[in-house]
Amino acid sequence: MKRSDISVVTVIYAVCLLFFVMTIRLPEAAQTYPLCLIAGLFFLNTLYIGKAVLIYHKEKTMEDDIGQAFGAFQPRQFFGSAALGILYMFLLWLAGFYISTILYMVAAMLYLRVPKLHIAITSCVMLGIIYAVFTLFLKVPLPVGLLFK
Amino acid sequence: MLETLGMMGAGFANALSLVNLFAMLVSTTIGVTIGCLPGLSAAMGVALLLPVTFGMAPATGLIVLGGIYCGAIFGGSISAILIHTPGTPASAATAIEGYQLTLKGQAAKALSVACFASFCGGLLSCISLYFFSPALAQLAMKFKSPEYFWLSLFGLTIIAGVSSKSMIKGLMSGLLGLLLSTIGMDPMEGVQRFMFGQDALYNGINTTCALIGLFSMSQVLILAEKKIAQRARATTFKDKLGISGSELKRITPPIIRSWLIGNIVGILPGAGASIACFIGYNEARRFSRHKEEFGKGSIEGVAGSEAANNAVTGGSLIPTLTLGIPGESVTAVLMGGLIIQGLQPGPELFTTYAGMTYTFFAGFVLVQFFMLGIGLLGCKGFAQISRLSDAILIPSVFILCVVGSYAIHNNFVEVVIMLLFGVLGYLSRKFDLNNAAIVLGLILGPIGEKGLRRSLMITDGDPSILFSSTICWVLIALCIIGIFSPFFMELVRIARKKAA
Repeated sequence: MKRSDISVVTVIYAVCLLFFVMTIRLPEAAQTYPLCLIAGLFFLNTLYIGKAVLIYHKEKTMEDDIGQAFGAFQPRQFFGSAALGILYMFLLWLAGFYISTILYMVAAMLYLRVPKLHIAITSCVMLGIIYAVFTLFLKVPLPVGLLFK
Repeated sequence: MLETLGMMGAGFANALSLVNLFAMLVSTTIGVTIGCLPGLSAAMGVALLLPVTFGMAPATGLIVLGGIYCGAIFGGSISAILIHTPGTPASAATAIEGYQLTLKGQAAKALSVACFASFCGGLLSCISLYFFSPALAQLAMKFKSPEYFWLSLFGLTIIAGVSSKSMIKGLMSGLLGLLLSTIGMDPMEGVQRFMFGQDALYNGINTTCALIGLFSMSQVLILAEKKIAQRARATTFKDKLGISGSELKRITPPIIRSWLIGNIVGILPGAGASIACFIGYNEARRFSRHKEEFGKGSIEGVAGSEAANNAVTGGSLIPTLTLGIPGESVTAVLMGGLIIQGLQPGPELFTTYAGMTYTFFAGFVLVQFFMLGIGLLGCKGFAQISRLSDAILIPSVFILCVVGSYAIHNNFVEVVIMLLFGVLGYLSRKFDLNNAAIVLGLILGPIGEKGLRRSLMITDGDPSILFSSTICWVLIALCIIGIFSPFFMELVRIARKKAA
């Protein structure tokens, strides 16, 4: 048995429960197919945990796979990058694509200790590529931002 | 026969248009660039560039995706040979012999062999693509609703069973994908299902957003969690690019063997280029007259590995285009691209849309020539690109993910969906669930649901219709084989071990 099994199984049970609660609110004819899938997922999840428990009873040890999977995890770098990403999404909505992208690229690469010259080159290249592909070639409007609408 | 030859000719005529040639050049270059960057995969590249193909004609869009696919599979060999870091898992075996050649000052020779073998493998795989696809499509013409239901189940069972560490987890991933595919409007009753009050989910989860999230965004998170390492300096070339006559004679047999291996591996759903490269490499070593060179830098080893992984590309397109069963994650993404263009895999691609399909096939052939040219002419430049730091890749790929998912319908809800799928993909990779099976569930879910519910509607709920034809029974048998294939493989392995 692995340590991650408990979390995986719990999450899958939670997903089954969430979908089950939503399914029983549907009209009867629309319930059958989702209920079959939920039952299948519930069955496989139970089978998986049953198998894991049997292995645990046999070996009496629990493999620390979470430690292995996240052994090289850099929390500061990961959560810092994720926070900057979320901030970028907010800025995108507020200030539009170009301003927010320049700010994000500079901030994210400074945070990840990229040399300043590389930051300047990468930012220009990325903006140029996106402008050429999305605005000139595909003619897709990029977010203009709430402030500039 | 004559009709098929005519369509093949017309396909080449269409593929040779300036727009398509330009698309091949650009997409193959992008593919090689993505491939040579360690940490970025072919599936990630294809998913990331899916939104770019929306505005193109279907054939051009598919040629672009094909160019990225082939380019990325070859591109992986550049960093494998020069900095001993495979750009994609498909080049893991190439790194063994390729880097040894680099250490001996024969980097240019190793790259020339890799490029030529990739070209041959890819080009020869097109033969089977032309030969087998129409035949399989003919078979698919006999499929009705019950057969489509079983076919979608077969696709899921085989990829979940074969490509996961745990078969149960693989099947769970597939079922999770199927469950997520029920979000949106019920196709028969017309009621809203699991939409969480979001009108943007009316047509279900956008497959492109899910693909970008599962394959590209999750990769950004994987890169962000690791310590950013300084890449090794790429070796400067001391020798010249090119292959001599005697070397060509030596690498021809492993290329032909690997072509066959790659094709078969590609056609088998669930297996992929990363498996084929090792089989190709092992067979090259087994049949070589210069076994002593293996491990110290063998051009046959490089050729065997590279021809096999590129031969997978054409092979894996056969079940994808004809039956809608992708051979591996890249073709699952490519199938998403096909569906986004409003096309369904199956016989219609060879009847109603035959013009488009044969243009794509011809484009796929021509892409191999572009790959050869770009690979040989640009390998020195790609050698430098392969050293690009993850610190630059993380924000760059993140922006492309956000812009790509926003561009689909110009709304932020789909960006949020992409991010949620990114987190799901990241966790699924960490906890040994299977992203390819989740995607397949999402793609095959609506096909299977419609097949099942239409069948039951025809017979007023009598399930015997699901067992009414020989094709149904064959597909049921294949589902059972798909589920139990890991057990059979294990039994064979144990029997072989005992015999040894």
